Amino acid sequence: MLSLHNLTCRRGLRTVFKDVSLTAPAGSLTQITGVNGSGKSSLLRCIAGLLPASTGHIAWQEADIADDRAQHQQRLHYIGHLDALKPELTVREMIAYWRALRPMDAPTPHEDDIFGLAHLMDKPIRYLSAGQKRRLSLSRLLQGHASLWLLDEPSNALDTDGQERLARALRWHIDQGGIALAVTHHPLALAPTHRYAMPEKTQKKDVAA
Amino acid sequence: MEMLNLLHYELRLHTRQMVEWVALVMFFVIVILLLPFAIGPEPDLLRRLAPGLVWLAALLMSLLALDRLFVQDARDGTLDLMLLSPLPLPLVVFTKIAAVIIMMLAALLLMLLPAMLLLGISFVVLPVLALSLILGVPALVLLGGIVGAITVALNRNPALLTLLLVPFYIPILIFAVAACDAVAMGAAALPHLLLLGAILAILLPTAPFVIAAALRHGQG
Repeated sequence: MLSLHNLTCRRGLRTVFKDVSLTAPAGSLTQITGVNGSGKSSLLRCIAGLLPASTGHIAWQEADIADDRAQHQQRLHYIGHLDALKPELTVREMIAYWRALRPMDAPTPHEDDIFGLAHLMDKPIRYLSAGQKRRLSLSRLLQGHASLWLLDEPSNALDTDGQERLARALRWHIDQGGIALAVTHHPLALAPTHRYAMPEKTQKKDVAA
Repeated sequence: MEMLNLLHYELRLHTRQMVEWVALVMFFVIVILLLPFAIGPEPDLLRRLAPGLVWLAALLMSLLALDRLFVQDARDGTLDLMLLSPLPLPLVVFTKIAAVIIMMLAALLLMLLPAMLLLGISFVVLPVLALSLILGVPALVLLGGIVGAITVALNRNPALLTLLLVPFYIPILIFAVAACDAVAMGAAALPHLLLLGAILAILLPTAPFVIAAALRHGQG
């Protein structure tokens, strides 16, 4: 179970988001919505531990994530809006590089090619389309078995087939008792079990943003 | 083991970007090639200035090479994955730096022979010059990594990096050229090389931790 308690994030004088409290039980998919600039992406980065929260805390099974950062990082996958792809490498090399960054991961539980990348393995990433790049990024989710998936606009650039594949991956993850948090405007192909709307900002912060 | 694996991919990434490295080597060659025209074709003068010229060219080349050390990773999102890796961040950082050091040294040592012919470097000076590069270039890259990580963390223009870096490069430049001058004049180069080695010995174990701290802090 992942729980956020009165989480507030400030960067400099600007409040990115304020007083976010939410609980995501095991086996849940939470869709996070909010207007542009409401701090959805920053919230995900906060949960990933990439961005420090100004006040409040984030707990995994009642234990603060700040207590053991390495363990927290081992159990999560973060798919940001940047693809983290190197155009010079082939798909196979890129996957191997990601694996080298997470050597403690168990072998991928899914041997079947859930994102449909098998025929692209030896293609340099510079030749992939935007949708194919997105699929490759998403395929990181199936590396090892992380219990927490943080997805920032995961279905961007995906075609219907890609979205269905993402839904299948999410379904599998939830069935395993995993937790997924997805920031998205578009409806996901898989119905979320929970929804969370980012708190509205007051007038003053809108001016700053 | 994981480190070698990562290093392997970093090096592969660099070899796939060979055009950029060739451009850097060409930059080095152009500096070496043009300086005799600028200074005048006097063999004795050139021979005396040669180690300094080679080092200056190497230093400028390293400044050009360094801005891609973390800037690219920050732009394409790889930096997030590095920060989220369960591996110790200083280790991940070190593999990136080691790859750049290997590429820089390979390029420079390869260019040393043409430089020797163009500038008339003697056979006595050449090994000392090579040794000074082997000890000095890693120190340049480690220093560059620190400043590079800070510019990425502050989200500032990499041009700032150059400005901040130059003062720290000066001692390395002084000791490296002093070693070559000493041996050219028949004195011992060892004290200067030892000082270069000392700079490297301080930077090697500390810089990766400083860089890791800067990168982590920069996310906040």
